[in-house]
Amino acid sequence: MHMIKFEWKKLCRLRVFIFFLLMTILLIACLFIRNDMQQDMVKAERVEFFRHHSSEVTSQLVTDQKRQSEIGEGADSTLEESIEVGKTLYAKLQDLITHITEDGHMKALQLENDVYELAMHYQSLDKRYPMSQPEMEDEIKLNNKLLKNELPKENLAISIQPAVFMKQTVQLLVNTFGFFILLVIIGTPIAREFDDKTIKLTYVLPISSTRMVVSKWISLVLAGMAWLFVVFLSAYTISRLFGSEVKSLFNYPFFTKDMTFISAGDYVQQSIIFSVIYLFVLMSVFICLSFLVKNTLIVHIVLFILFSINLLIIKNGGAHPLLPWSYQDLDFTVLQHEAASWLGAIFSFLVTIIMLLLAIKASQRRDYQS
Amino acid sequence: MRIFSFESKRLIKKKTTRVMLMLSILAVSTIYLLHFNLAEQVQKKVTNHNDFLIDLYKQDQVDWEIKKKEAQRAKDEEVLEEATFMEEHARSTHEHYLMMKEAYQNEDWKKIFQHELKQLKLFAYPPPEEPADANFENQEITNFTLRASYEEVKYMLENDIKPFMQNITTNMYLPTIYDSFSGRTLALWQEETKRYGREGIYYLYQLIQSLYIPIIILIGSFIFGNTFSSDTKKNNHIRFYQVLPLHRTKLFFTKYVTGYLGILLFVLIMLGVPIAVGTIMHGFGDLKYPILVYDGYTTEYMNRNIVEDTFHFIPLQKYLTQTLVLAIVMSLLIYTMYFLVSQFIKEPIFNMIIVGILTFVGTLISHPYNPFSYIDTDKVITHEIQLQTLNTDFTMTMGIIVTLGLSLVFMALNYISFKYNSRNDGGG
Repeated sequence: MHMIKFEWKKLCRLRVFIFFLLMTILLIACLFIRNDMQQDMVKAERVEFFRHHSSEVTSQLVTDQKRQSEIGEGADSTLEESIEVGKTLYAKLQDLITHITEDGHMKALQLENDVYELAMHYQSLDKRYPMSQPEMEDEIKLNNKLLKNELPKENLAISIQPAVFMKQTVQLLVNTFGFFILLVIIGTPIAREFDDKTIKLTYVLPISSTRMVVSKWISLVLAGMAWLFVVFLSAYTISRLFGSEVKSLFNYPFFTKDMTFISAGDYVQQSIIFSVIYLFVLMSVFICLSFLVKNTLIVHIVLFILFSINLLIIKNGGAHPLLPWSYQDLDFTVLQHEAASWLGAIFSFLVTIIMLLLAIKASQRRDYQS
Repeated sequence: MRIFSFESKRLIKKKTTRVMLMLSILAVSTIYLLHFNLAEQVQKKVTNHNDFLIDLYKQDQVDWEIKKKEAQRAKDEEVLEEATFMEEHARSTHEHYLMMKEAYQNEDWKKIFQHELKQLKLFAYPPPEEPADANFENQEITNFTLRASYEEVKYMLENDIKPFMQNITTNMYLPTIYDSFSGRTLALWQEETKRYGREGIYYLYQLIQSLYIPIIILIGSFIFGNTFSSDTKKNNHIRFYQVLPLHRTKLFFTKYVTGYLGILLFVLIMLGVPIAVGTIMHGFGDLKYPILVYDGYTTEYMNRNIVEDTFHFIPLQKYLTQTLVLAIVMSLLIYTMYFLVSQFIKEPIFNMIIVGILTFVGTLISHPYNPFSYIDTDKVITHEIQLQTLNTDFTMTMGIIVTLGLSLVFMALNYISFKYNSRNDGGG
């Protein structure tokens, strides 16, 4: 316990760590301010989006009506149906635009569904609508879920709704970049002990290698958890205090990779659990590397390379909730499936134990070179 | 000169330098293997798609054959005529896909290009009496993209160039900045048009597109940019120099130039490694490979631009030469920044992160006089940045001038800081 306390104190006294925590809060606050300021733009973009659809329908409608006047009414039943559907679709789009402008959220969701249903029918008549059928089906599915939960639709990249804002924060901070900076900041004092040769002082203490390695690992995990605590708490507090007020906000649905839904509550819960589990793995890898390599510069470059390659693998479809290193991009991996991968958690613990055992073994080899 | 050679030897003989260099080479080689694996997957996907179509039309042919025989027995002329036509159509389509599969497996690109050209021409340059729109998942493929795709294939056919590995189950589309897909369609389009270069220079070209140049410069600075800070902040070797009959300015420039040359050498090695790995695994590639360069914009209305804007191609050789020039200039700027930051912070990784963040923040402000706007060399050479910002002042020459300008400013700041620090240390 004394050893953990000692290591923890070393970290807490690091000015750069405190600065990092403060910067995290500042970044989250700035992100929230930016989202808040852009709320009008979100609405304008949405209106513009449907205006574009509307103009697409209008241009076809004009052409069809012109053709109908050329060939006469009743000559082509498909053409007449296209005109009829086109007119209804246009009217619905106008209605939808009005409701979006006037913040009639629930009515807008219902109208959006009507628009997509009509648009699919319009497409079946060999007409153009600038969205694919699967896309519209997905939107209908999402809108139905939102209607059921009585929640307005949010732009996931610019939202001040607390649950959605927390997701955005996780996506922007608890990722490759965030974990790398965290690791470098809190890990450097430990790696540096080998360069400064202060590790020799620890070696003369009457403590076993296991205790020494585990203490260092626990202190790193605790520091990492402090950062995660700051991230989640500040995102929640800021958005709760100044964000939009909605009932049952943690019921907001997010699409998973399987195109099923995961509620915001489950998402946040899984994010917290798996980010902590990932910290276990990450810190054990770091401790193992430090004791094996015993050179700060090389440890850093190896970490940089590992993070980069892992990021490439994740971005190219190599992420899986079973693989502990996939949680480097937390948002991406949590959104793979609806259910949490507890097998992935067990596998992470196994990797952590293996890494720590390796570190203990390496720490027993004390005839290091500086 | 002697002090310069001493500093260089110190850098090269450092075990850490050599280990980090080896690790960087190993990383690029590992990434190549991942890339190669993805290319193989795409190749398999295309072959499977061809197999599926071959089986489909074979079955179709058999079905129509049966219908034809039945019609012959029943003496139904109308059905017989239809069945004969459909059987012939299924047979020719089946043969076409067999040929395509064979051409794809044997990498007989000429045949594939000819087929692509025939299809793309219909949409890229449709006859005025038959206007045709090409769609991807119900969203329109812009005329610019269609024209660029057509011309690229034509260029490759005329110059007998080997293409990148691409999913060609639809067409060999070349994604451009004029694409305006959204939602799931955008993700599908990106997947469909993603290219994988297995050959040496093709792989390097793709790395350059993924900001490889600034990343290796940053790593180079991390390895070689601590010539001064390690002597002052870490082990106080500067005291050794202070007792030598050396001028302060000379010492500063020697350390500065040694680090910069180290970075340049590192950048050159790291540019050579992808070429070497790719060449060993799958050949060198073609230096004439066409790189799309945008000619700027005609109006401020995108709807008109997609039809009226023009483009041209430059050979990959020219692209790589221009990249090298920009890389040399860019490395001076990043190294100078790193050198400056390292005078205040002793931990190289923190310096790297700070310089990385400053560079990233710098790229967010797009302005022709902002040197960080030229960090993405690919966008500068292809003029993509001109279209993104609707500003034709972003040119390579302007990039070189402003980057060198800011580098000189940082260099002066470095010197001032060095003078100030050494005066405070009481030596020099």
